[in-house]
Amino acid sequence: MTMPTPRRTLLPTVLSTLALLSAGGAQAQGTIQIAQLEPLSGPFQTQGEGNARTLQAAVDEFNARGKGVKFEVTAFDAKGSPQEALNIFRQATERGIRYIAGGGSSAIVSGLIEAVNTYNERNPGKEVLYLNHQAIDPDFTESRCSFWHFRFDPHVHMRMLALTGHIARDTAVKKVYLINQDYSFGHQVEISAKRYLTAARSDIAVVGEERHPIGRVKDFAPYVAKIKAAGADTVITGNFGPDLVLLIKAAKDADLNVRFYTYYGNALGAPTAVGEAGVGRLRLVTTWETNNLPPRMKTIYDSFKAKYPKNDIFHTGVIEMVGLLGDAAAKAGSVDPKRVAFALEGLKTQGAFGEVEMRAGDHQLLAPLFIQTFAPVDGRSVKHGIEGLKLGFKTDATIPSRDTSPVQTCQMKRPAA
Amino acid sequence: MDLLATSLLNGLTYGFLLFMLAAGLTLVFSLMGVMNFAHASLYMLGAYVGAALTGPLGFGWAALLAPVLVGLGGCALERWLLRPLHARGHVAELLFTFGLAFLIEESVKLVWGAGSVEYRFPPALEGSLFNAFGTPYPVYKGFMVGVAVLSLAGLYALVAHTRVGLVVRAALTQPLMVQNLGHDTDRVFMWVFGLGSALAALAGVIGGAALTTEPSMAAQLGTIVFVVVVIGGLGSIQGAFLAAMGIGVLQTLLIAVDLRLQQLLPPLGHPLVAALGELKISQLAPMTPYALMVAMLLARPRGLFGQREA
Repeated sequence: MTMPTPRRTLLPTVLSTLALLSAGGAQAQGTIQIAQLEPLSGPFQTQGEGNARTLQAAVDEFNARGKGVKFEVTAFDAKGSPQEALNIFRQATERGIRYIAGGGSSAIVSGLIEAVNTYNERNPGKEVLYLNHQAIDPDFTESRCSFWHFRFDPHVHMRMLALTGHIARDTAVKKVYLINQDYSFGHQVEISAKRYLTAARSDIAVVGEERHPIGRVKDFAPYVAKIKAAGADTVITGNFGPDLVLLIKAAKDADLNVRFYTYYGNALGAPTAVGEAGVGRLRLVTTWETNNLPPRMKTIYDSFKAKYPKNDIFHTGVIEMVGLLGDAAAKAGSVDPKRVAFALEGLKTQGAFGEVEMRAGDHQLLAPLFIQTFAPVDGRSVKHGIEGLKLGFKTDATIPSRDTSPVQTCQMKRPAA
Repeated sequence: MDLLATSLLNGLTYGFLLFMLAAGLTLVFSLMGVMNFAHASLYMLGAYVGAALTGPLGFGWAALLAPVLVGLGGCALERWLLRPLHARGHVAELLFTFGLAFLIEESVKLVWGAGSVEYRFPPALEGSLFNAFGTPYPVYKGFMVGVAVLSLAGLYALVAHTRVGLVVRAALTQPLMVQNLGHDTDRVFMWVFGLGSALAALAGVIGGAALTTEPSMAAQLGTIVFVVVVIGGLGSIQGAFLAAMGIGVLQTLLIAVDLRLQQLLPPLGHPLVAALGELKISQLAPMTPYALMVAMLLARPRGLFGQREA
């Protein structure tokens, strides 16, 4: 329905530098400098800001513990554009930054992984690591896996396995409608849902599959009319940011009475958009659990909420990234990316909500997942409201990491140690 | 059947929003003789000013004041920036409005930030107006259509049935003669430009709340509105109306079609073509207006009701 906005080639804006170089610990081993790329403008700005703020909270917490290794993060605006992300990558490497994180959508991350692989081939001794905390296209740890890429978030299939396992137990689910963004991540969610739904319960029918342009649909009413006409009782969607908010808003306007199983239903305005109408209906699979915060998560959550009372942490990707990197640097006794990479392989640690493992074979994080439903705050099962509402998410099921651990298909090429 | 009815309703609603924008654009085109590329930016300004005024004044006043403010801004724009350029010909004017569109977008980003701003209809416009085939029709959409119909009926009455309208119409086609008869055509042009800007801003106040208020909204809706005006015929209000409704309905209906291309076309052996056949009609909906415009320019460059070649 629309054409893309013209692309500009302005230099990326360096938004914040969290230089916390309080040297002094006897065992100081140096600083892990991370260039964090996020969409800090455009339709997915709130998502980028959310990540940047969560990472900041996680890094502050880590640095305050004074373990020797410090983190220093520079945030860049990748503007949701692959070209812009590559420009920033070049800039960051010229500045000597050797850890690159984030980027935005899978399309951008895909380009960044290629760029890192090529760069490392041409610059032995100056290798760069790519830290993936949100792009959950399974290919990145399967057919396109790379030694220089680590993913700190369960990917599409792992989340879908958790989701479908749970949906299979809900006998009210009969007709499922899939609506997703028309790009690689959305396609993966669609394919994954079809594959695992029928495997989990053969009597579930997929009554519709929809792909819509990413970030450009402003009125989802036509799509909602279709979902309604298809007679669906359940919608599965990987949509995030405005694509989820506007979908839910249109569904509410049209009084569409279905369950929404989402990947990002706890994020960036979706709870506000749905409000009371979403109680019992808006569900999600997530890595974050606000009702049962371990001490480290409590510190991070509190410092985040103190600064941004209206926002919420919605996933643990950046938190696991900081924890595992810190442990790996300590184990390697170095902040050199290549040595840290070897130390990361197979590393197990106490993650955000239970033990996590960075699988050596494909660099995919194995972590527990939660299935949650939107519900009123009651002080017990729902302790905290979200986005300033008196509504939050209660956990219906905790899926241990072994239940979602995917088959390894990666043929990893490792450099000489 | 239900789907068809709901889609038609959704399409017409969208069409009215498009028309509100297209009417102002086509009016200004008749006047300047060139496309105002900044027209959609005035729509965006309307949304942002509306959002800013809603905080202190409430939605009602904001919806009234924002178009007035942007309209006055439009008058100033015409008087002090566009008029001096007029003598240098159409290319200068065209490039000026093109640059202006970017300038407004960047200014909006500086003032209100690069993300979307929180701007919604007041609770009074929440809820449903009536039920069509089991689907509620939101009050705010009814409001949107109502405002569009009222403002455009007002515009029509002004242009077609008043003395002022007579002078405007005369000034658009025979400016020299009108001037010689003692009318100040420069002032007429200024007010017409202001009126077009105010219409765009009014569409913005409503469109911004219904959709999203963000810096890319001008570029996103702007391109579609150009398509509407070109298909309708440059300078023709009736044409713009038909084209807006047509495009609104067409886009919405196509989204409802689940057929894949290969089910419509005869099988073609080539693998590349086969891959194209996998595409669903609903996925093609976003590009249809542009395809239509290209086809229209080839087959009938004047558009539906246009007087001049595009």
